[in-house]
Amino acid sequence: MLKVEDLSKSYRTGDHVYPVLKNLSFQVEKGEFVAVMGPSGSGKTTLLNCISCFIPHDSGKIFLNGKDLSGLDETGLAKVRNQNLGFVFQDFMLLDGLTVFENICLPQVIASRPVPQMEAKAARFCEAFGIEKIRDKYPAEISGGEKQRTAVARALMNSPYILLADEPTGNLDSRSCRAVIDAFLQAKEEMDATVFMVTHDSFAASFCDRVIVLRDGTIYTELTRNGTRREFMDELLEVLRELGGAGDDEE
Amino acid sequence: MTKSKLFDKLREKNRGQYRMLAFCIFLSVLLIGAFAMMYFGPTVQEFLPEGGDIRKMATLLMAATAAGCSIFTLYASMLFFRYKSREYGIFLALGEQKRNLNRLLFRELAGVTAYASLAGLAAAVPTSWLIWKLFESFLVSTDEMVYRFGFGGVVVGAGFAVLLALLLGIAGYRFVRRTDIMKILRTQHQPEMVKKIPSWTLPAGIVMIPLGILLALGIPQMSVYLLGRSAPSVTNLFYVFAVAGIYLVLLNIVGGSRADRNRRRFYKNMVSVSLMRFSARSATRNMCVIVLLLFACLFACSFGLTYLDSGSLGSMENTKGFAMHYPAGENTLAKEDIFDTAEEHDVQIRDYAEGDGADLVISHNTTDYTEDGRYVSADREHAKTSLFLSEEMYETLTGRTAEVEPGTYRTVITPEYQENIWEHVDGLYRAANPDTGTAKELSFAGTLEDGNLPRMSDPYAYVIDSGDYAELTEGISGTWSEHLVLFDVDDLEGSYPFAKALYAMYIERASEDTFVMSLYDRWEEKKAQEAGQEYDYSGRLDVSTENTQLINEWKYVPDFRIVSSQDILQSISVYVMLCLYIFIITLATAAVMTYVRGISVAADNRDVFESLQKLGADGRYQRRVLNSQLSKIFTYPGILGCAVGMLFVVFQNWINDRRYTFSEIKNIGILSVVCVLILLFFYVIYRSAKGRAEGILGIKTREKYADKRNSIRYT
Repeated sequence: MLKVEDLSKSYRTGDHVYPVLKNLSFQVEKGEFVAVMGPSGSGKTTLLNCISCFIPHDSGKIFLNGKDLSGLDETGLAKVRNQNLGFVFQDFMLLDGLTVFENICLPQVIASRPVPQMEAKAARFCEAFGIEKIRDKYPAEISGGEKQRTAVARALMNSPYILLADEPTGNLDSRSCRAVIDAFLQAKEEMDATVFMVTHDSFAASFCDRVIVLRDGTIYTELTRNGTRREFMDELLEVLRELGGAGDDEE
Repeated sequence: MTKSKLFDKLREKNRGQYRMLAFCIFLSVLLIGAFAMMYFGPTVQEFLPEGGDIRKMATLLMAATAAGCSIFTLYASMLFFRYKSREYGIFLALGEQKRNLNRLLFRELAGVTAYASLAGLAAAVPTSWLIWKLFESFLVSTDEMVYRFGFGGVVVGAGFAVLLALLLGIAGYRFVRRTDIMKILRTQHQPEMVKKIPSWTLPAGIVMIPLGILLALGIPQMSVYLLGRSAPSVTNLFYVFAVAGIYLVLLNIVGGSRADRNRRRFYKNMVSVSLMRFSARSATRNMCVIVLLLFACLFACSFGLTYLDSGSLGSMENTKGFAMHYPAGENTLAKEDIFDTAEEHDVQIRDYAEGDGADLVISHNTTDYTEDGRYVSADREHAKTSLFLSEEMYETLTGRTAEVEPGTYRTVITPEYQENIWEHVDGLYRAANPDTGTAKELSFAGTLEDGNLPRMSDPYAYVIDSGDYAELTEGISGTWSEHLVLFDVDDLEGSYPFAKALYAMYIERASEDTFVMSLYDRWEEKKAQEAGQEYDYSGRLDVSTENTQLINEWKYVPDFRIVSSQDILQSISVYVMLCLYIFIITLATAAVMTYVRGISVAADNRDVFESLQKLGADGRYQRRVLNSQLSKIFTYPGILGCAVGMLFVVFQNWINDRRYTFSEIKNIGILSVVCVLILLFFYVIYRSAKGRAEGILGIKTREKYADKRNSIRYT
């Protein structure tokens, strides 16, 4: 579903060039729930922004369902973002002036899809993610967990190839965090959605099928969940301990 | 649900932003439209002389006004775009095409501009009428000065609206082009580099501000009086010194740390100080512009007050309301004619006096200006003629005694006279009969004050001993004699129709030979003719009964104070109006800029306030941090702007003639009141910005919940 080949990205500050991603390669299969972890400065957020095409990369290729995203023009990128990618952001990025239901409809509104089907799908999602009671409320009137579940539902509206989540539990308490993770799992199981999540939260990552651990812009290790979630989380914590703590990513 | 419905809903949610932008456009078009409707209306256009200085000034000032209006509207649009940026970022992240957003933005901007401009133009018609009526209340309402609607003004107003739409379009295009998803999504505050602001910046700035103004105003004057040459225009650069002082003061206020002095206060204000320090450069620049705008606002106000004063009747000390002088042979108006006309207009004449004076040739010391910009003393022998009166005639005409010893003279000056570089009251040393050549050395014996006589002669009118007068004027022909008539009326303010009628009679009976320019001098003409040279002031003026604008142009213009005061008022009304406009526009621009800056504090530092909340800061603490920021943004530029404006006016008034006149002191008093009103106006804007900023940061909502929780706990 998602294939990253020899991806490199560096930042320039004055005369200094800081390489952030160094020839990174990996693959995410359809229906897989993958997390990216790593200490501060390891390049996980930069990786997500390159895949999202929010920032250009220096070299390498990014394939989404076999299509190379490198070198797409603005129109092409907008189409990919609307049709093939679904985004979930740390601070939800809901439009304050629209209700929960209207926010969920937004990707299809942008794509000018037929209204009855759109509304039916949005209603289904509201029910599926347990937010039907708040569907007519505005973002300011709901909790953080509800906001993020709304964001997940919105990200899935156009049935994207992959859901890209940037620290989706970063602003949430533990109960809301669990609700959001459940939403991802539900999307994966019921809709066969592929989820690619950047996080520093080992609890959230322990629900994933696979975790890619980055260090200094390269893949330090990849962990695949074979046993229980608890065992996987212990395994993750052990690796992070080796790295010297997960830390926040403030790139 | 369609895209247009969604956008309608978003518009509805953000209607405050649309309203603010629309209001700024409306205000700009209203101000320019109303002014253009008056200025380009038939009344003003027919009234103002073709190609005159007033027209040039008015056009220049209108261009400056239009620039000011454009700037504050563009500044308001920045706030509009700031609100739009998050919305646009989300749309872009969800795959909306930039060109669709572009189209939508331009449609919205065009809609807002069109509606607001049309409303502004429509409101400009009654506004221009109202302002005209306001000015009419200062003036005598005459048929010529009645308000007449000019379509040209509508065209100018509409043209300005189109220009504004274009500028907003460009600003919109730049906004969309610069919209960066990353910046919006990550909303990371990008601080400026924090440099330590040295503590000397505050005292240095405080010294530099008055020093810069003082040097820029004073050096040209000192150069003329002490060095006898004009100062080069480069001395204006001292104003830059004052502006640098303003910058230093504000920089210290914004970014300076006073940790060493009061640790407790430092920790108390640590968060708010640090917030400002992270945007010290842009905050200081912004506040500096606000200070300069307020300065311009007060300067315009002071200018307007000075103009208004020039049209008032003044104190009328030692001055008669009606004065005429004309060549003795003219016999323009007989006493009976004047009294009959007064009776017709129900006007009571008092202190009527008439008599003759002589135009004698003077030799005097004066100042000349050389081509290389130097002021040099010049001895002018038999240079020109001036009006001489015997001490008896002076007493007859003015009712005041004048003691003049033989061989001396007294110079007649106006009550408000202030000596200048050009002429000296004691410059005369000889007078001569232009016909017989009889000359007499005279020495200066002091001055006499009169409001009318100095206006009749250049450089001054002189009073000499009656014996000397008889000696000097013996054998003088009528050509060199002038007849003078002076009188007062009981109700000067109500004597305008009488004055106009008398003015018309005076002109009807005057011969064309008297229609000479105010600088015309018969002796100079005679000398030029004898030397075979052309005399520059030989031409005749186009004098008509309708033209009362000849106060500084016609040598024998009747000095009817009520007419000249109204005429001055009419001609300065355009200036006063412009000053009022500039005052309103600079104040509005300063207010909008300060408001936008205030809102930006909340919008840009949302994450900081969230962090504070996470660290346990309650609503009260957050409000204190916010208030401390906002009060700095409003208080310091407000006070500094007013202070610099007042300082400039106080210095300027002193340096002009090294004294304060009653009218200058009165105007400084009025300006002080205006300063207080400006600061009150800023306080109102501050309250509004504070409410909005608290809303953005959710302080009010959190406090409401906290109150609710507390009430539940206690019940």
